[in-house]
Amino acid sequence: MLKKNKFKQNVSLYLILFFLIFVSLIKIDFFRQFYFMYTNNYDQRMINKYGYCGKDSYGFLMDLKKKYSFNKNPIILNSKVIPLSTWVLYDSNKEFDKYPKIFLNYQKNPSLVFKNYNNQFVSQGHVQLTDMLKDITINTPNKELILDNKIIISKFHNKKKMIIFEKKINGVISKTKTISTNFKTDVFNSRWGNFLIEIDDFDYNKNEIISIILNFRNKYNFNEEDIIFSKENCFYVK
Amino acid sequence: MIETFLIFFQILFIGLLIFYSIPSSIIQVTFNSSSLNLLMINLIIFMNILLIYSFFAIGNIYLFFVLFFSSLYLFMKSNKKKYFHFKIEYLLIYFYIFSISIVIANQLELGWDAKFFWFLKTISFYQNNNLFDLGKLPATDYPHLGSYIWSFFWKFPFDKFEYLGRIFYVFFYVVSIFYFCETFKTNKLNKIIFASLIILITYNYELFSGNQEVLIFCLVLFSTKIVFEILTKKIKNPKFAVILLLLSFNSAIWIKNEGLFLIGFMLFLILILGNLNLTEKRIICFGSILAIMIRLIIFKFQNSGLESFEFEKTLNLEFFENIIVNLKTIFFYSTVYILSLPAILLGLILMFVNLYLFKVDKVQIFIISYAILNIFFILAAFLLSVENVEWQVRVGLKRVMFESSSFYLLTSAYLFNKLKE
Repeated sequence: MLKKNKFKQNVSLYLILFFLIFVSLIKIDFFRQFYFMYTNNYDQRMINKYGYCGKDSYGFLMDLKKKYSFNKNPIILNSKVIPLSTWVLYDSNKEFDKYPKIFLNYQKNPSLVFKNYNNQFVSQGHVQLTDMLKDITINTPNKELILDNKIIISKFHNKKKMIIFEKKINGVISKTKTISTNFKTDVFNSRWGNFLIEIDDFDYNKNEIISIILNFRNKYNFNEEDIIFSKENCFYVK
Repeated sequence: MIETFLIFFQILFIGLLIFYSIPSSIIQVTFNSSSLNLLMINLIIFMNILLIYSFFAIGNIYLFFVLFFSSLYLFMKSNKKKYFHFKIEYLLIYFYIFSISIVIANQLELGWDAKFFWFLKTISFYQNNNLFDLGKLPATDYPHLGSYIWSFFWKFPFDKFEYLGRIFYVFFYVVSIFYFCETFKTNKLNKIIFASLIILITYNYELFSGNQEVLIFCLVLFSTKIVFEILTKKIKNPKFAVILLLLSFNSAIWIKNEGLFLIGFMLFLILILGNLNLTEKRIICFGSILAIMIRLIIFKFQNSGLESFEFEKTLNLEFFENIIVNLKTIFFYSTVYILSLPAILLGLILMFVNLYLFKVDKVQIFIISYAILNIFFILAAFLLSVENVEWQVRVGLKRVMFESSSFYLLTSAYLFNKLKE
């Protein structure tokens, strides 16, 4: 009787509490998470989260673990801007290998696309593991474009513009023609921030250039015969 | 289904192991003997036991057996009626821990820093390596206690999934929030509502993605309550409270480097404002210096350079050239992040409301002083970043602000209690 009376006195507080619990469950997405946990096993959930060959490539690395025995912790390189996937295969009782043997989301010829934004070309996305800017492609809506300008590639560091590369371009530009640079650098392997391309004395409003593409060389190259196991863009090499 | 059972029993295991493995008789004498208080105090002591054990190269299976059998013995001996009568708050604590643990078990995703540093340390401990084997991993100057606890509960009792270890983080988070709500002078039901509100405004999956900020958040919350009780003279024996503060400080400096400052500031302020006697002041001074010395000595033994503190790289001409630009960046992002951290936003608003409504007392001086020290710490930490300041601020500032956000909850407890008076 006493308990009943106490409950009646506090019924509005109990309703508030019930409401809060319900809102909390919705906020933490409990019902959906519980359903997916119940319907997928641990490995499936890990692959859903970390990808088979993509993102951290958990599925690919687990396949390697099942198929091969590693005497040393392999160095795993990932072309995506995410932390290294070392944690998937890490064995604390082993030393690390000297050279990388596993390449995830590998791009043989990485490239960085720049699009026109406020009278400059701004990079879209990032590249990793490059060691040379091989050449530059300029995409034009027309067949040909005559340029006699300087192209400047830069980046902001602590709000200060740092020029990375500049080159005078003189001639006819077409979709199929690339401008050779062969500029050895690893400065483009940036995890954040954008690079900028400016062209001296160029009228951006005419929209004569759709995009500019920087083509790089991957620091790590291997042949078909070096590959021990691969799936899509993930490789385990000798 | 198996995973649901494992989660269900893992929570029970963590709770019972922490609650019963440490004799509560000493604590009961000096503190309010509610089970929640005992659990929280035991949790801080438990973390320190694990910390001390981690310094020795002895397999943690022995520690597990000692803790397990001592908790079994003390459980048998205990007055079960006293602790085990049904209480809605215990049910809710369990319910919140269980719900969040289910989310962790499905999400599974580790944070950037967790993948890069913390989880590698966890794997190393899980594979029976000790503190001195961490030298080959990145960020050797990053402390290890959070990873050690993660590996301990990953291995014990089920040794199945890594996320079972992270349930400890959820446990600590929920229990510390309910513990803090004991500060409010009101009935149980209102306290539970306050706790639910705090969970609602602070919860985010990223807290449990293996990053360590949530542990500092909980330790700051615990220390804030203790300091508040010392300042308002609610504690019978301030000496024991001071020791608990030191244990919390000791845990914090072995979880994240920021812990040194975030709880260190509280120790410093309690020295000035706390009306402590000479012995208690000595305990704080010697205890904190000893804790810092032990950490430095062990780092020396680990041969780890302080790679996160490269002042020669940051204190140069460029630092002074960029100081205004960097300050602007930090202030801009701080404002943005305050808006996304309701605990700080609300806390700062209530801090000014309290100043307007009530006469300035020691608690208010403590809140304002801590807030100022906290702001200076954030400015210094980010201005002296080795990496590009803007990048550091974008990726790290919100997490650092979150760690101390629990402190600002004190303003709401202060206002509530004052209005009740």
